[in-house]
Amino acid sequence: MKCREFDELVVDVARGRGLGETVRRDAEAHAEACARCAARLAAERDVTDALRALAARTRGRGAPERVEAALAAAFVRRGNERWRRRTAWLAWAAAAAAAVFAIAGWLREPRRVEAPARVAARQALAPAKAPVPAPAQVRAQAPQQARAQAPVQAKVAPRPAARKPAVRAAGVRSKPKEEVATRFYPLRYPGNEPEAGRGPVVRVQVPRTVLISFGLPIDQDRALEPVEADVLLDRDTGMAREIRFVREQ
Amino acid sequence: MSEASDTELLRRTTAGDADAFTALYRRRQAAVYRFALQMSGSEELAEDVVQEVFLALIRDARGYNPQRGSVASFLYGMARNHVLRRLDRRWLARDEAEEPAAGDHPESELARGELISSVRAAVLALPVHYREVVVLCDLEETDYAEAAAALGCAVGTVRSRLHRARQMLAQRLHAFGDAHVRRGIRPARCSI
Repeated sequence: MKCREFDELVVDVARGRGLGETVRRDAEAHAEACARCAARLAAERDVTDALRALAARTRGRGAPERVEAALAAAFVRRGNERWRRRTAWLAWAAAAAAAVFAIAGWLREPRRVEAPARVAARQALAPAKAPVPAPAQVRAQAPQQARAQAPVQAKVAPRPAARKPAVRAAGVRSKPKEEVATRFYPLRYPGNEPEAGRGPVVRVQVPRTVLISFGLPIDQDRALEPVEADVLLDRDTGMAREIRFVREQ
Repeated sequence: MSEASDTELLRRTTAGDADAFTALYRRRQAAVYRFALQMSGSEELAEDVVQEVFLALIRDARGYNPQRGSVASFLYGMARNHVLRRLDRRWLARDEAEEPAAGDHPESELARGELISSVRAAVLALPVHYREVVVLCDLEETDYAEAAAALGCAVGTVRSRLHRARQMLAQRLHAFGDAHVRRGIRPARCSI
C-alpha cells in the first residue's frame, strides 16, 4: 500500500469501521513500516478516542418526559381534527351526490300529457282537489285520505313500472308511513345563500356518518347503514340547499 | 409493537395509530435529541428540536420516501433543518458564550472532564457542514450512506468532509494537549 492510498483510508482505519479485514490489515502493516503514516494514524486515533469520550458522556440522554406528553396530546388533537375534516368531507360529498341524483331524477320524471277528455273526467271526479302537497303535508294527511286519492290518480295517469326514477320524488310514496324528521339544516358551501329560492324536496339516502357533521348523534352499531334524508333543492339552479334527516316511527 | 420496523411504525402513525407514534418516538427521540445537542450545545434547543421534528411527523409524515433513506436518516434530516434554522437565529452565538472554554476550568477539575469539554468546544467551533458529519458519523455512529441521506449529499462528500473536520479537530486537540502539558496535565488518550 502506498502512502497516498493510506491517506484515503486512515480515518476509517482509526475509526475501525467501514473497511474490510484485509484492507485494514494492509493499512496497519503500512503504518508499521512508514513513520509518517504511523504518526498520522496515531493522530486520527486520538481524535477518535476523544470523540468517543464525548459520545459516551451524552449516551443515554434524551428529551425530557414532558416532551412525550406534549406530543401525545398533540397527536390526539390532530386525530380529532382529521376526523372532523373527514366527516365534513363526507357531508359535502353526500350533499353533492344528493343534488346530482335529485336533478337526474327530476329530469327523468315522466311528463304526463293528458288528453282534454281525461282532464275533464278527472276534474269531474275530484273537483276540489288541492295542488300537490309538500312532503310534510303528505305525512300529516290521514292514511285513509291518501288511500282514497290513490285510485283516482291511478286511473288518470298510471305510472309506467319500467320508468321508475332513480330518486323518488317527495309526495308520491305509495305507502305513507309515520315519520319523524329533524329540522332542515342549511348546507354550507360557497354560493348557498339562505334567501335562495326554495324548490322541490327529494328523498335520498346518505351515509349515517353525515349526521355527525350536523351535530346529531349516531348509533355506532348502525354506523354503516344509510339514513334517509330530504334534500331541499334550489328552485332555479337545482342545487341542494338544505337537508333534514328522516326516520320511521 | 417493539418488533415493528421504523417504516411500519411511521405508516401506522400516518394512519392515526397513537401507539405506533409512541413506539417510534421512544425509539428515535434520543438520537434526534443528541444530534441537536451536539450540534448546538444547548439542551433547550435540543428539546425544542425533538418536539418540532415529531410534531412535523404528526402533521404530515408523507414526506418520507423509503427509497431515499431510512426513517432515522429522515428524522436526522428534519432535525438538521430545524437546528440550522435555529443556529441562523444566533442561538449558537448565545450557547457558545455559555459553553465554558477549556482554559476556564479550575486546576482541580479532572483532566478527563477538561478533555471532554475541550472536545465539545472543538466540535461546536467547527463550521456547520463539518460539524454535522462529525456528529452523525463519529458521535452518533451512523454509516456514511445514512449520513449522506440525512444531509442530502453524496457519500463521497460525507467522507471528504469528515476527513477535513477531523483534521481541524486534531489541530485543536493538539493545541489543547500542549496547553495541558505546560500545566502539568497529561492529555492521555481517553480509554472508554
